[in-house]
Amino acid sequence: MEVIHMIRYIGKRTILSLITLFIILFILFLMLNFMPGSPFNDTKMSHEQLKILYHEYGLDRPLAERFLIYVKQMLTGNLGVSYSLQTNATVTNMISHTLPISVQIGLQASVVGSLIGIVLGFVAALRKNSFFDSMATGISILGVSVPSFVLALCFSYIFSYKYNLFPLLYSSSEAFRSTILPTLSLCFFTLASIARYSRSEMIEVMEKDYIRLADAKGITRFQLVCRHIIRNAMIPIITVLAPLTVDLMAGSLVIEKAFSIPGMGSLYINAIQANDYNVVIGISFIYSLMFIGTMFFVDLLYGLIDPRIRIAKRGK
Amino acid sequence: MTHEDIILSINNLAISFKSFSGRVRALRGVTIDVVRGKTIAIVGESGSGKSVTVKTIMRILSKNEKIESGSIVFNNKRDNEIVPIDLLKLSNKHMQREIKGKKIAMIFQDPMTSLDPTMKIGKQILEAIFAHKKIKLKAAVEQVHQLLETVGIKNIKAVMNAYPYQLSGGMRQRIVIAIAISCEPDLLICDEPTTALDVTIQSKILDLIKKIQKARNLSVIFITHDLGVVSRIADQVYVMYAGKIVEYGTCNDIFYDPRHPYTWGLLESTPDMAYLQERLASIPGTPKRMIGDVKGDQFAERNRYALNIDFRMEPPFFKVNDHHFAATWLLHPKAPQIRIPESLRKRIDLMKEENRNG
Amino acid sequence: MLSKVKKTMELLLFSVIGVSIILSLVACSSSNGEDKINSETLKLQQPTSIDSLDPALSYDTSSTIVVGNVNEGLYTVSPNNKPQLAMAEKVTKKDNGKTLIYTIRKDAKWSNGAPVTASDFVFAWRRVVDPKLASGFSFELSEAQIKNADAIIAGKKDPKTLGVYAEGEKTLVLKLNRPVPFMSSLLSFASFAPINEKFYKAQGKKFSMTSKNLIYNGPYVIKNWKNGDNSITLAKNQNYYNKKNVKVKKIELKLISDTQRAVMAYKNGDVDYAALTGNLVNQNKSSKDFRTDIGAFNWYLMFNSKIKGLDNKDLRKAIAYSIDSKELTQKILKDGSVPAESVVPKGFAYSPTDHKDFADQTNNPYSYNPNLAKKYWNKAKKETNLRSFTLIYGKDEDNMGNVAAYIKSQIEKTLPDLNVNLQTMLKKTRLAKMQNFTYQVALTRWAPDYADPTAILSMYTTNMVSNYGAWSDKTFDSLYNQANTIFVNKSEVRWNALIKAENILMDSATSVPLYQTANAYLLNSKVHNFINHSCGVPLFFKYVYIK
Repeated sequence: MEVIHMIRYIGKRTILSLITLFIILFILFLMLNFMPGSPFNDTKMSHEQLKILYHEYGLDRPLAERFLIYVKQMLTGNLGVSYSLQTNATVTNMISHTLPISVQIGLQASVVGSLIGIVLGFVAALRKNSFFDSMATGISILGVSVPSFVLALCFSYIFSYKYNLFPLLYSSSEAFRSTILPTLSLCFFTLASIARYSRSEMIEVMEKDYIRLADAKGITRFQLVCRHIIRNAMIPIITVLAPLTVDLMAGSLVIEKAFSIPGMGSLYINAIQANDYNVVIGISFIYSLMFIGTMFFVDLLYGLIDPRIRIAKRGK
Repeated sequence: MTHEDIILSINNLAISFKSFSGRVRALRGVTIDVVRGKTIAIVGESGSGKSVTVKTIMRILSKNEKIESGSIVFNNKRDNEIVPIDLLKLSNKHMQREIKGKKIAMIFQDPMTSLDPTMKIGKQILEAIFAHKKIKLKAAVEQVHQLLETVGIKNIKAVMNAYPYQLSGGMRQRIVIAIAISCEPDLLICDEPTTALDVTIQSKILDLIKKIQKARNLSVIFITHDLGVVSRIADQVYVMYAGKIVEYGTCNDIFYDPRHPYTWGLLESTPDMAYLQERLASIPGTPKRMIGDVKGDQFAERNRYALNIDFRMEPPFFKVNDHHFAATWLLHPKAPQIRIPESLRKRIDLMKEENRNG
Repeated sequence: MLSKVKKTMELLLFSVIGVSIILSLVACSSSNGEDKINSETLKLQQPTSIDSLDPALSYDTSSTIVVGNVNEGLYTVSPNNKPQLAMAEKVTKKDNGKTLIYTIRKDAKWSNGAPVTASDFVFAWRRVVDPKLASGFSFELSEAQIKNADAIIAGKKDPKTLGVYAEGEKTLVLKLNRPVPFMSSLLSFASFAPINEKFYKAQGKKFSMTSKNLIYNGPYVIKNWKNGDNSITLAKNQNYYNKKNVKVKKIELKLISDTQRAVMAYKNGDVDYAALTGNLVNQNKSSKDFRTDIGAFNWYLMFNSKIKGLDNKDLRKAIAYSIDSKELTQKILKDGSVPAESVVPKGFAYSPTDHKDFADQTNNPYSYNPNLAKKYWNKAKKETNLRSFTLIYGKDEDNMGNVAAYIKSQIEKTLPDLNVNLQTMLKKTRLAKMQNFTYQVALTRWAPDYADPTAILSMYTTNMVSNYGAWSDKTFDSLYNQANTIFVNKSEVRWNALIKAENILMDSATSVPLYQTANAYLLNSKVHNFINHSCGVPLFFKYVYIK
């Protein structure tokens, strides 16, 4: 019974996600259409030349037709080619080259950031108003207010320039080692915001009646924290964690630029600046897919932790 | 009363807590004795200090609350021997391992929020059992069944597998009671356990607590602001005002022969007792917060029978009879003869009548 | 209450201490850049990523550098900035210079061993002009005046009609519309590189996507690269005809877009060359490795003559005289830029007779002169009602915010009643506005594509696509045309005509030159013959050596 409901639920969500994706795509198409400039290195091209080019790439067709053609191609796994960024390279290729490293660093950063953030927040909450708490709050303030490129610069200065512990720039021959500093610089914001958030969540949960009741049962503090406080505090944290993670996975322009990482974030920004329509749409598509997928996953996970939601779904 | 008969005695307990405007004196020398196997009720408006009192027993005070003086002696019965323990001097660990849940259990006000929303009911009860008993899971589950039966739950298996939000408030309070009695405590503290429930459920829960109290010879501390509830459940009543006990005695003492003007006010404002279609009286004003040193009777300002001395000196307890005391200057031999308000007089007479007939 | 304040203070203090610790760690500089350089490998920082290594499609500077060094054309450029024959060993002129016959070196080979043939050039050049391929440099072939290039680019003729023919394996014949005095400089550019047709066809769509899908005939080949990588390694081409004179065995180009980090990488020894921008120029001025070359770009104010009032010469002159380029470069920019005194930038076009810089031979009328500015302004006020205009500039272009603010303040200070509104936008928006003439005044730049004044002057001819000022002057047009027609084989006369044209252009003040950029960089002092060419392929590694 439960399985059938689950499948139905997943099916419904999938269809909704697809519709959302198409709407996103269409809006992107519209927006790109109104962006100034053309996707070609056109400063020295004549109008005739541009006309031929537009025709060649099908850009002279009406928007709706272009959209339909794009969607049709997309269904066969063809996201088109880059106009100027990597001229005539397929977008799928470009994404498959840049996505893994961005995802890797993003995941590393969110795992490290959220783990440390949660621990920091939880310990700070348990030792509210102690020195540790002030310290954790200090770190949070720093993490939220110091931009990641400043951190990137500081870390590189200290760890690669002064002490030569890690590579200054990303190099594929030292793939993991060269992701450490980017990960650290990138995770700080997550770390700080998660620490702040989990501290306040935890404090809120600790004041709940059910915690007092559980405490009155005479269980140990350790059991109380593990079984009741953390579990309940985790639920809202997961909701904020998921979008943060997707954000990180999509690649951070600043960090990728700073460490010369050939990732999707910098590709995206470059594509927008260069009006490389297919690349912009392709990456937006992947990004939306990741986002929708993660939210979907979080929803399922959420249900796993919070029974109220699980049952509600079953009921529908 | 002999020493053995008293399970818990709170002696001269004073608590204060920090606030932005200074130290607030939450309790100012509270003395309460709980007789083994009896139910005492602590009555008072919100802010009178009744909750702080029981929280101190359970040692679940907030960090900014400070115990200024006093002791809470729990006369622990172990192998037919009585060992007095001062709860305020116990280590947290000892308190947690030996007292909470095992000797003293507590039921909270709002059943809707008292249960962990992410844990199945069965597990929450099991957790309480395993906190103090080293038994096999099977035996424990068996105990859960018995407990749920005791608190009057029929669909036991389903309830065990349910999450709190799937149950009604009354059901949840039954679960909370089951948790409280799971380790056969000697003392049960009920902090307004029925306030959040609707009236029909209220009375069922009260009956349940009463039944369990009788069956297990439990001692109960019952906190409420509802005198109607008190009359049904308590053997002894303590009336609290502004961090102090102002009158105490048996149920009959308080209901049929109240002496403190504050008790009068409370009785007058109890809807259950408004048999006559009279205007429901209320006590004018609100209790004020006690910051810094306080002078005189704290109730004086709201008291229409206040004497001059009330504003200058706190009244001591005056004995009404062996088991009935009240802290009001009205009981002083030199005080003017002020009688209980006429309307209340009438109501009390009516109640007596009814009781005799009933 | 107090305790809360105390707490906040504590936190603030903590954060301040934390930040200052980090900053002090960063600030206390210690140079530990050991001399990691060896004579075999040269590591260079590049600020932008590669867009394509297809000789016809590479557009970005980094790509041009790579293509220029792995695919050699008929010419290369020597360290003293002179074009010299490369793949060709001989050139014969016929038809008054309208036919050029190149003989390809016998020992010129592709990296797969195949000989470099004349038809490799024909194939490659036809691709460049093929409108379907959309090469950003197709205009180079029209500049070279190769027959039918314009018509092919415009889609009116088949690429096969291009005036380039292979006569036998090693003879390449170019048919031109008219002789081009700077032909050798043009042909040294990357888009004129040959492509092996057979290899190209074998790769299909994969051509140029990875180093394996490329074929090389230049001094270097590419190792283990795929499009999108953040570094590219060039190794000596063992099949190169002149390989014994190629000194550096390996060249690594590393993408580092953040200049701050590039400097760190330089000091660390991760790179031997790092470009400097903005503040970093000033900060590194005292380093022994600091170099500065004149840059390719002139920044200038462009007036849209289609706007009423802006077509007034006196108004434009008033503005030109009110800007102090010296102050602008020395106090605002401080990045090594120098005041620009002519429309044609310095350092790339030299007189054919005495090798004097074109920019030095023209009139340079507009040095800062507030009195003259006021004089012209008073005159202009009688002729036009224009009392305010909007200056557009790209916010994604280095420092333009400061430059625009400076210009505004100068103009408003010097010329009473004239208001300057600033409007910032993306560079691409600025370009679009200029192309559509929907702007008033723009802060813009241009770099010459080949070493001849016409590379810049052509932009100001009537009806030219890139004539964003819509300026038109008959004398100027005729001088320009003469330079390209009747004077084309008379180098001195031609040169003087171009100087006259430039002087007319300057006098009109249709564009007001502000400053010329500089290429400031750090270069390991052991690297020699490392020359930044201000037009064409910026770097040729063939002559570089490390000692």
